[in-house]
Amino acid sequence: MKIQLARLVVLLVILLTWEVTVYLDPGSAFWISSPTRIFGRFFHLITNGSLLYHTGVTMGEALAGLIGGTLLGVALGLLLGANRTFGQIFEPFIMAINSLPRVALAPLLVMYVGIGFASKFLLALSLVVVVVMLNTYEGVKAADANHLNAMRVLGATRRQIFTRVLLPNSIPWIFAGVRVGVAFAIVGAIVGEFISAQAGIGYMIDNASGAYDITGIMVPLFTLMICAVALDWLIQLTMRHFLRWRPKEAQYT
Amino acid sequence: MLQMSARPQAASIRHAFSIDGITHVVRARDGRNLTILDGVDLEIREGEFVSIVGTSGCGKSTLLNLASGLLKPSSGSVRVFGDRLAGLDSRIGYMFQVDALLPWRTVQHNVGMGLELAGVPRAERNQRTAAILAELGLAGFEKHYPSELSGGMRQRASLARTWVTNPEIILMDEPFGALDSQTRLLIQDSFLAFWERHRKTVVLVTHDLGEAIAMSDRVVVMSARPGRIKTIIPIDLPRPRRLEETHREPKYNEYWQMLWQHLKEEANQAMQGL
Repeated sequence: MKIQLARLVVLLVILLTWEVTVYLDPGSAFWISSPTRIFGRFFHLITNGSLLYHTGVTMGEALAGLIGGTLLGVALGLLLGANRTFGQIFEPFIMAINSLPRVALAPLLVMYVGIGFASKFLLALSLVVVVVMLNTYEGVKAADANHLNAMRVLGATRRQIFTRVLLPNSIPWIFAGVRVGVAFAIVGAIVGEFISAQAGIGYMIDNASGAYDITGIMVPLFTLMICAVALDWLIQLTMRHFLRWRPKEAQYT
Repeated sequence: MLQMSARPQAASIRHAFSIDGITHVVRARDGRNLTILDGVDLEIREGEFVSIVGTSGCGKSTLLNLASGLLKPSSGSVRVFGDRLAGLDSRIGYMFQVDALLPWRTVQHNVGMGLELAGVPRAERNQRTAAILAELGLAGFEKHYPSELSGGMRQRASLARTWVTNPEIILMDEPFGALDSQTRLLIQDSFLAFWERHRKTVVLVTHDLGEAIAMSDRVVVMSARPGRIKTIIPIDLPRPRRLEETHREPKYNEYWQMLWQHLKEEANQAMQGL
């Protein structure tokens, strides 16, 4: 409770400082807008339905990329982790792909699949898949040797060791990957929309910046921020359910 | 030596376990070959409790890893009831110094792991785990996660996991070594009582001479590296034993002195080698 109260105070202080600055120097509103202006525009865009529409488009792309990237990343990570030789062969290739700034792939993707949903989805997916795959792979590799030996002594087959030790062991790692993936998926969707789009938060921002409309840039930005925080909160709730075996102290670290 | 036991003395003694001329060599990081064990022979009768003591690095744990089938010896063989051991064997249970319980499974599901892997139906599994947990004083903790248990309780759960599949031979690698001294005494005592009810073949590796004397029928002393069997001391104390009573026996001190003399020689030798 105390922490939540402190958070609220921090938020109010930021907003108040911002608002007071603009009140004392009205000219600065052109550059930094102000909380009241942003709230005003926010309600205007909510009531005419356009904000919900564009947010829906972007979050649809990002979520599809996040889910697709997570499924593919977990599958690939487990495959690499379950088969040692396989993992050793592919590790350098993965690192090479990972070092590539995948945002730079956007123009290529647009050329391949067009300016619609597919290019944003694929860009988001390409960003998410590597981080989830690497985390899953590390999670499998991080399995405790004592656990593995104990399982072998109890007569476990390779398959039983995989389902009962390697897979559960990688779950905290997968969640850590997915949490990073949320931000990546949104970046992928927005960048895709910057390249070329007819709808979405990136499209809104692009339009507003063409008109030097700072408030018009800030509103979709804050909306996105709220969506990302809500999504992360949802993931944390799921994670707590899956990781309820962890000691309480560890959950807060 | 086992006159006090209720077990009928068969005409021919069955060897649960024979270790025949085991030598084990590993390649050290600097590329040299390191002989860990050098020609170890040991025969263990069915239902016998044997402890192995020795200085650190003498290869006691390696000997258990070889005996369990986790490792293959460079030469020599291990026989279990006359059959040559080719790998892991369901007749052998192995308990480590660390509890190695899976943190995401409840006590019940950890203890029932061996049965689950063997395809025992859930109802029977739960009934058998509940029975052994009750016997080891863990009734009511079935649904707890390992992180919610104390070190002593986790080690008892680990013992239950090893015991519940009913292996005929149980290998134990310093199972009580990581516990604080009071907990260790309590668990040693309850384990001793537990063993005397079940009388399985046990091979226990330990640092604790008192533990070795109080529990064992024979204590094997190993030499410093390369590990060889230096001597085997039969412990002629009446059973059933209780830890506190055993510690008061005059013979207990004699055995302790005898073991300590042997170990001291080896420890001195090991230190000179450094």
